[in-house]
Amino acid sequence: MSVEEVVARVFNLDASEVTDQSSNETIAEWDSMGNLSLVAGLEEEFKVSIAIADAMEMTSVQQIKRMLQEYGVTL
Amino acid sequence: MTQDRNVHDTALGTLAEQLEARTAPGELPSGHRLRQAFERLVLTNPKGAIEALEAHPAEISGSGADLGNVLGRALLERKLYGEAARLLHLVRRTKLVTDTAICIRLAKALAQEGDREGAAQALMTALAIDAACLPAMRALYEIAAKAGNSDQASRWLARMAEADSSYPTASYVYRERQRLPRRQGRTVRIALLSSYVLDWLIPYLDAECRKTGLEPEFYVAPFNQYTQQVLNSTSDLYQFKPEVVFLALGLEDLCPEAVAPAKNEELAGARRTTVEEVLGLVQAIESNSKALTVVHSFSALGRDARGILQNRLANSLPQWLTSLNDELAGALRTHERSFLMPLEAVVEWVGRERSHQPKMLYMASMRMAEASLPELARYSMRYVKALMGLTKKCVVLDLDGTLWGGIVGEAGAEGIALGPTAPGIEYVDFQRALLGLTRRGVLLAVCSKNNPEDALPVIRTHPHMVLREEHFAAMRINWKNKADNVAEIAEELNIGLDSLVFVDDNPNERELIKQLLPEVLTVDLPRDPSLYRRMLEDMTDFDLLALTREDETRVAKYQSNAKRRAEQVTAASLDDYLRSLEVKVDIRLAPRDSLGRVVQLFNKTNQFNLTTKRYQAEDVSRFMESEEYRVYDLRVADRFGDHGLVGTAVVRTQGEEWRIDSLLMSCRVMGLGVETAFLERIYCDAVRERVVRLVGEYVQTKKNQPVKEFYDQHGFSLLADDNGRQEWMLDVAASPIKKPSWITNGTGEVKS
Repeated sequence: MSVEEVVARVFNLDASEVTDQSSNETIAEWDSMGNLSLVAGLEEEFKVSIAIADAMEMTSVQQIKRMLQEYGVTL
Repeated sequence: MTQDRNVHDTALGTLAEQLEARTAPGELPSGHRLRQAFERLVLTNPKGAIEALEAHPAEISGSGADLGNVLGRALLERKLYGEAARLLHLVRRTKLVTDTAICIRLAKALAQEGDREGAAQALMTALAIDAACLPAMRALYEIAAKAGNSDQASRWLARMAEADSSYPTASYVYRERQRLPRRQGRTVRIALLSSYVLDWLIPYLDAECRKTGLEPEFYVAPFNQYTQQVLNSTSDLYQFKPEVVFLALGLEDLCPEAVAPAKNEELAGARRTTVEEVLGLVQAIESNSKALTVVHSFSALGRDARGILQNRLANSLPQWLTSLNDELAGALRTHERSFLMPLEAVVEWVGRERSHQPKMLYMASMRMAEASLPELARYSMRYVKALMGLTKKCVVLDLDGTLWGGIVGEAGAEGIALGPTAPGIEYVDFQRALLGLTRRGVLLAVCSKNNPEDALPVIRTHPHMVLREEHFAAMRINWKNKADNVAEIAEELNIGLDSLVFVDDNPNERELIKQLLPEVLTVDLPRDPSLYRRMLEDMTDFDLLALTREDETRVAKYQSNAKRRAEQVTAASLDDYLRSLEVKVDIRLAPRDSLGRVVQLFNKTNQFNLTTKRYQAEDVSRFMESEEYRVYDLRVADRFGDHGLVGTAVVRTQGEEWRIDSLLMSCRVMGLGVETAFLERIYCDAVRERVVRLVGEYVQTKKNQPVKEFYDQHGFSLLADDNGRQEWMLDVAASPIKKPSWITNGTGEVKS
């Protein structure tokens, strides 16, 4: 699954609605609790454990991709 | 998708043109050549591609499972929405489109054009492809909400909550619910006080309340202000006038010593102060409100620091926790309106690792992680339901396939699965759990389609029956429809239909009760009987806040005045129910390859069997080859699935008279009216062959009571009765036979 697809699944959107620019500004459900669900979803999909400091920085799809690459995930 | 190497392939071009013109040769090329031709057609003429697909759905999807999706995407890219809708329409017949995103994109485009109906249709197709497709449910909710259809909208929200227990879905459903107009319903006022962040539980509690018809209102104390709220008699908490207060305290918040790690003497003192602190809070709530107070028991997030030595030492963390909770439970036992809720039961069920996630705790003070919230809400609801009097009082049980395995009317008392080994032990165990329920004052009743002569001996004398006649407050063992029987049981026991739970392994019967008696709680019994006991134990509908002597003796009281009462069938609603089953029959002159199953039916069928002739393979084979005999077979399917080949008949043709030598049907499909459809087919064939008389035979046996009146009911008149051997006659010209209007011909899945 791609990052977009994980974001779409967590927030019940269609994958076509999620782009690099999607963020906690554009997706209503992406509040603080939504962010925790997204962390859990990403961890499960990409088999990583995301540090709290990184998790708190997650604000957009683009930014998540950059972060995951730092964890050695190839996208 | 563009495959340049194909562009100059004139043969393919021709094929594509043929596909387009729908003049494709009778035999299409198979495999990749067909696929390439189709893909090419998609590029050059997508409309033509749909027509080709309509004409050859099986062949084309056979050459590439993804071709329907390819076409769908191409149509959307070109904004050919009408065509895309047409393509999706085909999904009902063949599984050509498997990508729900196509449906959702189409729905969006149609909605933008103002075509709400078309959009809804596309979304329903997405759900037909994937019943758990959340984006489709969400879009359907939005359409219903925009149209002002709030009942429909709230049903879609409920379905979303049911399909996905993740927090984003729960919170979306909760938030959207607030926008819908309030429903008429009993309200319940629930307050949540906690030492950690438990706000996330609210959407789940909300959904649980609504499931039982309650309209909840919530009060959540601000973060870590529970003490002030409880002790101040004019606080927001008491202004709210709660009916239930949940008090959720984290061990590490209330008693940091225990987690420190602590020395033994510190722990002993800590236990005392913790219990006192909790009791102080409970007493304050009791004196300031009439609410039911539910205190979460204490649980540990970590392990004992002493590893495997923990059991060598006094006051290990697990021991200490157990004694803390015991002491608290003991102290609360005398408080009529305060309870200790075993949080451990929730954690154990969900799994410790999933219940407590360090990151969620550190980041969000969330002691109970997302994965634990649905179960925590469910468990919490037990107290709410008990308080609001939503406790179920009686479980109505089917017999065959529910209390024992197999069909007693077919297999006999010795042939059913019920005993100390598997298969059979799972039913014994289920019965034990049911017996346990009676100790809580829950009544049991039987509602079974059976001959009492078959079923009662099992209940009375089968060595492995746990439940006996004295455990059943009411029994309905007959061939009437179950909705009537269940209504009678409620009347006989003088309890409301909303106090009944209906347990039956047959999905048709469950659907009947769901539709005709929606107040009854119909449980979806798992297909696998080894899960019956767990299903029952997981139910949260039998809880009482106190057990009275009356509860414990209720079962005996009801049993002594059990009586039968007859009632009229509500024909109109039964019709609606049968129609909703979408029953389809396929009746054929039995081909050779049916022989095995037909012979099996002849030798197994007891109840719906008019003559009970036990024909063997050579007999049936002879009939099939003979000009004089006609062997029919019957297949039945309904919306729950294909029942397969379930009936057969042998007709002996003798010029102007046809004699129905045998007619039999598996009891699985009794009560649907398919037997009339079966007879209609024979009747129509007889008309075509200019037959004057149809003669039906009936030979009475111990088991075939259910068909005693079969010919009478279908307009035949009795010619002769010789000691249970009867002959019935139908004047073909005078009394036509028509199948019920809810049955259609052709099961769709049968190749004849």
